[in-house]
Amino acid sequence: MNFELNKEQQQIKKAAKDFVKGEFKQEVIHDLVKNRTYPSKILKKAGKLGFSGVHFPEEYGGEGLSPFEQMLVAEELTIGHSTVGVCLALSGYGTDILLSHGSERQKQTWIPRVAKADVISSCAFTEPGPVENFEDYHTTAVKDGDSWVINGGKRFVVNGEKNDKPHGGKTGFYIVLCKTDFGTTTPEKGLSTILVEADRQGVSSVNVGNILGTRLLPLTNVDFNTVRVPLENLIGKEHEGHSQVMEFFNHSRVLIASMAVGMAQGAFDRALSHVRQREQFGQKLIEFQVIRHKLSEMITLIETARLITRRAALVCDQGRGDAKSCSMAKFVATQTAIRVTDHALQLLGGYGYMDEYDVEGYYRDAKMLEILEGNNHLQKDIIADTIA
Amino acid sequence: MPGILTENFETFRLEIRHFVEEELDPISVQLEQNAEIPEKIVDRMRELGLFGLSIPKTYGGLGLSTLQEVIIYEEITRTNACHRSRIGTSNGIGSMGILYDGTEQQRQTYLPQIAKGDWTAAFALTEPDAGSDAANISASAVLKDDYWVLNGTKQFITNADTARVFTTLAVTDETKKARGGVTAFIVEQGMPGLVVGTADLKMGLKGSHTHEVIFKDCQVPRENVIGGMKKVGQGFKTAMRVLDKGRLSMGACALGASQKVMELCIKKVQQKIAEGLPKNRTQAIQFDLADMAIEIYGARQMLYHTASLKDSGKNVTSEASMVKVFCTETASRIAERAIDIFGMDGGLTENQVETFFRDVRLYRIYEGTSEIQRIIIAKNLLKK
Repeated sequence: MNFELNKEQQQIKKAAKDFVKGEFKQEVIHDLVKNRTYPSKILKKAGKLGFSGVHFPEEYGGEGLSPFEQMLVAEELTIGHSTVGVCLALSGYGTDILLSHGSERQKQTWIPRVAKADVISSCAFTEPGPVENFEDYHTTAVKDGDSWVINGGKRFVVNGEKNDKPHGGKTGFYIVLCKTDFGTTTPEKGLSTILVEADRQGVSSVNVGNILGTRLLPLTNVDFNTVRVPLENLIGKEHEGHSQVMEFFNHSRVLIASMAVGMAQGAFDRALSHVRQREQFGQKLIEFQVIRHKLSEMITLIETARLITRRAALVCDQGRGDAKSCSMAKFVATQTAIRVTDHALQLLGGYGYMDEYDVEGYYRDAKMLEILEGNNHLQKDIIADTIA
Repeated sequence: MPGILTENFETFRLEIRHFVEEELDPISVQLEQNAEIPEKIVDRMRELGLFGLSIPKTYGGLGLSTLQEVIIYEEITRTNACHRSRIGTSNGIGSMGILYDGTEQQRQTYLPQIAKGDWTAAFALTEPDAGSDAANISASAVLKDDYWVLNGTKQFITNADTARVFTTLAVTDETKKARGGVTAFIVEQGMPGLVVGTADLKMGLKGSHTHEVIFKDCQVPRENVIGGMKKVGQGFKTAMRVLDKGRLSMGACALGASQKVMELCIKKVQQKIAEGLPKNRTQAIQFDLADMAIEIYGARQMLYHTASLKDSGKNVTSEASMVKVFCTETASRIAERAIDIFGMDGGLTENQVETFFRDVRLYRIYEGTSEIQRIIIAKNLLKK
């Protein structure tokens, strides 16, 4: 049991911190936020420096480190700025499925481009309607000669903006969860993931519109209208889509937890610097006992969330795919992020409510992380399934 | 509550409910995009008398009791909060100083115009270095012949863009400051040296604007001291009394929002159940709804009870603070849970709970943060 980061981990954490310091210029960030522009330039630099492919093997253009280090970087990025950090940390959204299950050719084609941040990657999993049973999956892929023909639509597709505009981000491909077996009755047996290049005919996307948080992240609804892709675009084996996606969510939930820890820390840092400077009633705010206690509570919550998140990240490193640890991390970390960003906003008072002071964005973004990939009721369902 | 809530009032309440449901709610989502209440809606508010809820009938208002007023606030906040904010300063912080401490002449000059909604009233107290610590204001007023010359910067001033009348607090005696050295003035839009800055960019209340208001050698007629020259130096008391009253209104706003959010959630849960969400996955959200109802029920009793006490002439300073804290913190908790119940749909502005989540957050900050309320409550508890 070792709670300290090793030397290499400390170095990468510091490198990420330095990157944030150098590239997250306040005027630039405020401009992006105000105009709702994807941070393409910052992402490009991140790609150049290796922050977009931390845990991808070197043979695919990555840094050859593990998910643990990827998550350390994600935490630093969201400390730097919540919504910009989320965009960078999720630029390779779904690429892990290729890494784990893709063919050599799929990996060679796409992973280096994601690692260099030439493209961002996207997952199209969520059906437009409620999904309780297998028949509720309406996106289908049917074999026709040497092609899959895909029809259907998906909602809340992260990084799903097909065009560079208006919100930017150049999507390379979608991993689409499709119904491929029409004779079976369970998702476990009848779904497959298929790689759909974004420039395929019949793919169209539309931004979900005004949203609570992570507003720079391209979140879209995507339509697949008789989209033809080669049979070889199947990822892994046929009908294994469900288990691939569940495995991916484990990893991804810890990544979200890491970003939540970063948001909590980033909001805390800003609140701390505010209460150190601001005077009311003839003394610095930080001299008030209630405020000191609030800060103590916040930093304790953050430390707790960080520990459970790093432990889950280690589990991911060991490839154990432990749903319980991952859901616990997401549950605790997102709850922490909301509590801490809420306290931080309150510590800034009226300033906390203003865009200019960033913290309001942390509060909104934290809430988005809580509902992304399943709210905490779902995480508790998952945890309960493992212990019941 | 028979006797207090007359049949007439009930008719008025229902009229407001219909106005909210039929005219305000349908434009609420659009309002987030346009960030501007259409003038024809403001005209309807004028017609309904909404700018003069708390102004006595003798000055052209509706003269509602505190209890009646909070009930109307509760009705009108069951939709986008900006609508209430448009009438809020005229009914509250912007006009009450004139009503409480103004001269008869001032009341007759301003209150009927405010009550009609022709003149919007705003309240200029907060400064960059004087937020919670309102006694620390530094805007100054110096008497020169027939004019007071005001200098200083006020910030986060709600409705400054539409306001005709600013109840403005400035220091007239630097040595005494809040203890007899702060004076309340009526400053009118158009007086030389009054500049309203650009609108603040903020998390919520997108259709209600706050601004910096700058006084640069602003000339205010000598007689514009609220209450006349004998009230010079008494302005801080006026300001505190005004804020005291606003706490119940804030509680009412938070309560109306909570009620609406719960209703949106009930619909959503019913829809989920109809769509076949399995029983073993609905119990937690049912409990969420139950908790919302419990907290709303509690909040409403506190609010109505305190408003009634106030109407019977009791001092409710502590109780009003309790109401503000409890109702506004309840609204935040409810909005947080509502987003969870909606899931990713909860993040979409089109589903309204998103807007409530951002908007109700302000209630815990302005017109006295939750922390200031707790200080007031504790001070009164420990008073010997």
